[in-house]
Amino acid sequence: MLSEPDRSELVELNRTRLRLWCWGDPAAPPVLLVHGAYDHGRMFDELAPRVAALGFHAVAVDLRGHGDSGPVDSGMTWALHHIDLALLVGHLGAGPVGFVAHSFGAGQALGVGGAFPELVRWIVVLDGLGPPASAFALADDLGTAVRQSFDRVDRVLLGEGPREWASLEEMAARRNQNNPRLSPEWALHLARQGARRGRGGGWVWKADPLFGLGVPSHFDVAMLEVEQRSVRCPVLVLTGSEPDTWRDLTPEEEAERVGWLRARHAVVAGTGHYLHLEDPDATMREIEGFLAEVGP
Amino acid sequence: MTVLVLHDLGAPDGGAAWRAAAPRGWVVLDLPGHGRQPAPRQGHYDPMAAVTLARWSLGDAAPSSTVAGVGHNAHAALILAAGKGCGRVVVVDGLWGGMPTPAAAVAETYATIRAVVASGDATRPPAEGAVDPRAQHGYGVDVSEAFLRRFWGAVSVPVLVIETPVSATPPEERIERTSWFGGPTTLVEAAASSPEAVIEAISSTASS
Repeated sequence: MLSEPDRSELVELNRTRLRLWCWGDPAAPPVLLVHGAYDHGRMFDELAPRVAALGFHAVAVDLRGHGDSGPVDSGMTWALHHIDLALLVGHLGAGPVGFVAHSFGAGQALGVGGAFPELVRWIVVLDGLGPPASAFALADDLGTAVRQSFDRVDRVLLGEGPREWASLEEMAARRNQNNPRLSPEWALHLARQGARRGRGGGWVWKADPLFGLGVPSHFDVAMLEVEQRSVRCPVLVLTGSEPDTWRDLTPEEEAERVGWLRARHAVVAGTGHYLHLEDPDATMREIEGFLAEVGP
Repeated sequence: MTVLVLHDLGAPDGGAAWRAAAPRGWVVLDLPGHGRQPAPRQGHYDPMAAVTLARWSLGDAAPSSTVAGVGHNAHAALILAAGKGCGRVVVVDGLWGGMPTPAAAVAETYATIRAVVASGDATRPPAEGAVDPRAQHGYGVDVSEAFLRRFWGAVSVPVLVIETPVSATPPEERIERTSWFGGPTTLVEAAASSPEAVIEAISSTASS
């Protein structure tokens, strides 16, 4: 059952604005819920009120370049989101927070945990241990890849604007093609909350098309290992059991990364990458069990 | 032949000193957050902005142009060169310093973002008319020897490497790193780091 947020606000920080969707008592200990790439904070409409019911101030954020938050200047935003989230914890003003974070957002929460250990009490990772080693490899033909990135930047900055869709239902259907394990109801909810009117009167995705357009830079599994080993707070890793579009890690890679984090790991049976949407009851049972161990 | 200069990130006067020293016809941009250019709207510095401005400035002249990148923006110039966005590239103090271990690279990134968060000036809207304090924190690009060998190996246009007295690259490693470029490469040690000295090195090499 989806629930409208109790409150929403726009906060100005780090030269942008961030949209917050809030549930529960603002004086309660905060928990930040962070979505994945190209998603938005309203993906937590089912989970966040349940987190709030445990006695937390549940705050789902639209990362910059997503939802109602400000746009991005470029696609190379990995560390920039860390800064946004660290400043957001300061804005909430209640000391260190818990994170419940999905996919790319989980990478963000782990990065904040490593860079700002004083700001993070615990982290729940929803299928977000990072891409497989093969995803970090540079393109075989780097020159062609760089020229293609030039073309993509030009299309975004000089083109006619993002594709406009005739209806939210059409967008939801496309979303379901990309994420076939999502229910049609969830796909429509994510489309409804993730779309705005375009200049031509149709619907466009709110996600900034510049997001993800980067330049060659070095990152590899060795650096990921250092990042994940630097996280010192308690971590719960939840993964699904079913293969789907975005679950790329082998069981061995998954186990290795859980070890780097010294994390507790549980599998939410019968789910895929969007395990918290597919089975929120089982997801919450694991979170409650984890919090019973580590405290709020 | 067009010569375009990308001044260093955080240069106090943007491109002004380079413009004052440059021969007629050279193009010296003020990059975002420097000189008369406003800071990036959302405050984030990325070499792609310098690359894009250079591409758009050069237009059809790109294949016959020389692009010189100084300091942090040597990386931007080399991205442009890897994408065949210029006919020749000049790398000024851009061979990087010591190659960090993964642990050192992550520690440096975390130290940088902690410094940004700790600096109110770097996260508040910048004042007009001054160099944006956020630009002093660099681009946050990570490199390794393996990465640079692959990336620079994709640069097939001629490369002029100019090392000045302020270079962070250990002198004993300069010749080795110069060999990582895919195109024909010349290494020049300039006696000074001033725009005049660098421009003299570029001009004399072009005519030799």
